[in-house]
Amino acid sequence: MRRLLAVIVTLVALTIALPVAAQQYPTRPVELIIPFATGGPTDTAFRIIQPQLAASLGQPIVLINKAGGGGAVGMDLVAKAKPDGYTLAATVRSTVTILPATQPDVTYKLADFAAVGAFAFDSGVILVKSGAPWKTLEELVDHMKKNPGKVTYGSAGLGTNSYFNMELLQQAYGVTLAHVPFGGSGPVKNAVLGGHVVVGAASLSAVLSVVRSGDILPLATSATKRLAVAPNVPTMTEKGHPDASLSTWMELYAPGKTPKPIVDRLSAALEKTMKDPAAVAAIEKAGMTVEHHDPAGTLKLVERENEVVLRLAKKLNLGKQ
Amino acid sequence: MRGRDRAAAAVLLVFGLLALEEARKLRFGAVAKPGPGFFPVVLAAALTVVCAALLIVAWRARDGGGDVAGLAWWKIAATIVALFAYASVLERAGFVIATFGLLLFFFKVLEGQRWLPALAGSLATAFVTYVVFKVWLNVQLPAGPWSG
Amino acid sequence: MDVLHGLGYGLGVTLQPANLLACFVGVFVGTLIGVLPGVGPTATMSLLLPITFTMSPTASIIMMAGIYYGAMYGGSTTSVLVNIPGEAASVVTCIDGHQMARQGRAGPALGISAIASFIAGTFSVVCIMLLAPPLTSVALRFGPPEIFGLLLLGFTMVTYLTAGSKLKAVAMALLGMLLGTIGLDPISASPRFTYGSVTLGDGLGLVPIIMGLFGISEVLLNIGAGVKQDVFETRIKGLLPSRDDWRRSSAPLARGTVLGFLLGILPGMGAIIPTFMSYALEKRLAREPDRFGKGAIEGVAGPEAANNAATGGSMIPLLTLGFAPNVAMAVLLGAFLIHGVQPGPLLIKEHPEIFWGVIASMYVGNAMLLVLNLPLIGLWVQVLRVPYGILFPLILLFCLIGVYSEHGNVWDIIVMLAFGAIGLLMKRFGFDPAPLVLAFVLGRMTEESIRQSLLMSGGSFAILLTRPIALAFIVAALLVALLPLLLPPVKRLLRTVPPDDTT
Repeated sequence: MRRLLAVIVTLVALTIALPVAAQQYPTRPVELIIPFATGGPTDTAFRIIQPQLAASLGQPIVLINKAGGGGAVGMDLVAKAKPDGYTLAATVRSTVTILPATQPDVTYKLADFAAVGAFAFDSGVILVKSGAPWKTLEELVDHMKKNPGKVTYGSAGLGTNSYFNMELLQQAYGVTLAHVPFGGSGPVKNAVLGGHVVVGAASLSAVLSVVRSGDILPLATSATKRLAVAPNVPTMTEKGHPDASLSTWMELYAPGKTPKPIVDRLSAALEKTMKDPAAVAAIEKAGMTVEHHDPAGTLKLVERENEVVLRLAKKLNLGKQ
Repeated sequence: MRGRDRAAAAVLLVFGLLALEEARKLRFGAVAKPGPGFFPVVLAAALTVVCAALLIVAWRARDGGGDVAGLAWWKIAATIVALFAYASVLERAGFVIATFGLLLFFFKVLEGQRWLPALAGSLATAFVTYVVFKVWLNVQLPAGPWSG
Repeated sequence: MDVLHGLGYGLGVTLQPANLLACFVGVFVGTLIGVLPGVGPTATMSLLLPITFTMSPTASIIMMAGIYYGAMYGGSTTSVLVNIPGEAASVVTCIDGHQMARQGRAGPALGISAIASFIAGTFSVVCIMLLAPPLTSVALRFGPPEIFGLLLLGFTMVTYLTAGSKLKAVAMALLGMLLGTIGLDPISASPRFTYGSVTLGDGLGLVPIIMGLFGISEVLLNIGAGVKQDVFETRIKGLLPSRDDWRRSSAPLARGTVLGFLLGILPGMGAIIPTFMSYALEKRLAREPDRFGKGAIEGVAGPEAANNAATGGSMIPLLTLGFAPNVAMAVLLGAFLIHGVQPGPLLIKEHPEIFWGVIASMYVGNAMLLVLNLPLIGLWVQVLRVPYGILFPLILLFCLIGVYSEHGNVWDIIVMLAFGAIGLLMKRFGFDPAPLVLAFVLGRMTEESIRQSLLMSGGSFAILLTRPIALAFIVAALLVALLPLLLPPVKRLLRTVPPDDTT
């Protein structure tokens, strides 16, 4: 009898609770779509926080890799997913800013997503080989000014943060460089070490080992403030160019029309995860820096960066060939 | 032999010409400053030339005989259609259901096994592979409607 | 710490029960995924990465490395038995390995692969130990012009060495390169032949193409030919290589090992290209090149040695410089970083237990693999006795799973099936799919490297001639191309091999 009563009470409670289902969200596993293949830095970052995030949400997190189109395939899927909070994009910022701005085939845009939060970034870094005649960014810029169009720089590829950072740097200092795109930060590092290009732009996690060993000299980072792993390296913001500071931000997005209570619930879970020392330590070991932003804060940063990207893409005539 | 070589060369030649036509729409650049279209144009042009040469060789060749055993084309076609059907329902139906259907088709229709072994074999294989790949090896497979 | 002392110390680390277990699990999983077509070491390593969070750094690196070189052992098994590469690096093994299986010599084929893998694997570990630091600085000198020169040499070497009509081979290579241009242009990132499809922006995948051309097409052909079991009805003769096999294999094995190791060090090479190079080299050196493609054991021993040696070679830049020469190494690098260990010049000083432990574990792991794989040969050969009506659905299923799981994208299955149909037609019309696949991989690299070179030099081709390594490769490529014209006897030796018809 008592059991029956319990069932009835539960049923009644459920019926009352239904209209405010969002408060109960999540009631089933949440799918995080990673728009890249397994093994990449984005995939790694989310696999690191997966257990803590699941614990904070009280539901399992299922990571699904939907690679393709440099991230566009997975993002498109989320943009068109049901906005119920069960399908999210676990991605990097450039997939909602640079990708739609530079690729004519990408049809989604920033407004198709609701930012849940940013939690870590892999700083961009400008580097030269140790033993090169320049010890500071200013000395290098001087050299660039004396040899317009002659100094080569390697980026991780057109349409990557590294490329945008260097183009923004050229605008900021009024210099012209010769661009040699490579397929990722690793090859850029090799090219700088081998002396095949003068300057390299890459992400910090990929070059940290050779920075520590002293084989490569970082001249500036794109971080907002000096990094604990490289306290002597100035930031572009310090140099007065906060716009030329694109970093690889790990972010979580929901489909655009997701109700605010759900976004807030997710944001709270993400915030709690980033207070877990184990998760923070694991991310920092991977060469990234933990910095959490709530939905509003994330959106503000992303929108501002998007403006910079759109302006530059238009100027460089990218996206409309 | 000769007929088949001619046909193959002709098909490739047409493909080369089509590719050339399409590649010319891309920005060509210059020899010292190649654009996106440079390589495709060069490759398509080279393919066209080589296929033209192939066609000439095939035309002039004496008939080599070289008889090949005929293939049961209906079986091949049925397999390809079944595989495409599998691809189209895989994510909606989930791995186990789609795989069960595919295997049943192979065992029953293509191989003409009896119902019981065909059913049992398909079901068992679908489940076992799911367990091995998804659970043990952590390979990504669509769970289907029950993923809930 | 000198080398012997270091190795002894490393063995002590490896023989700790936890590390020994990690090593075994690694090579076992590696063999398993190597046997399964499509499921590659890169994906497996990254998916198992979270498991290593709870393990010690040394044990997790040992396990990850074990998966990688273990996969190279397993990959040849599928190639030999069912003519489908279990691993992309085992494509070449299909050519002669499967022919051997058809002649009832699956045992020796598998045996020589396991032994070649063991010898090459062990050799490369010795080399890592001795040569790591000096070789790394050479590898760094390989910029875009050097890579372009190397590719040029590779192309000229391979061109002469495909079975059947040279014109057909060149046509297939051009087709492969053309297919490789689909997707975003590597330099300007503008879409080519994508027709508005975002998915096509990444280009066609290598794994679906390989699985389609070599795997699906083979199964389709067998289904159409009404193969029941007659293909493999030949009696299985012996499980281990005979004395004659040994005599034929030893030199190719040695050459494949050295070639694979040297190429493995270079960035971007991976384990695939060395196998093609080794096969080409053996065919060129062989007294009877006609035997290649018809079950020549040299064609198995060389490439199998090459892919295992390349695996070892690619560890050098990772361990000594902290850069990953290929994707699989990038994942291994990730495993290092997650445990707060920076591979690089300081690794040996800061973490001798990891550096020497991993190296010693590779000796132990290679021995484990040999012990694991030799007895399995008897078991694998029994696979040939399974009726084809049961075997082929399973093969197809493994291909489907492997290709889907790489990106979680049904599109890859479609590509694989399309190339399966194309591969079937190619086989029927006497076209060899190997040059297509090789050119598909190398074509992109070639375009990228020459365009990067020109950007580096501001549009001057002189960059290819003023850099000694690049120049040496280009001169060598010219020599290889011109030698047959200059020397009639060589030309006779390299005469067109009669086309082998549909298999």
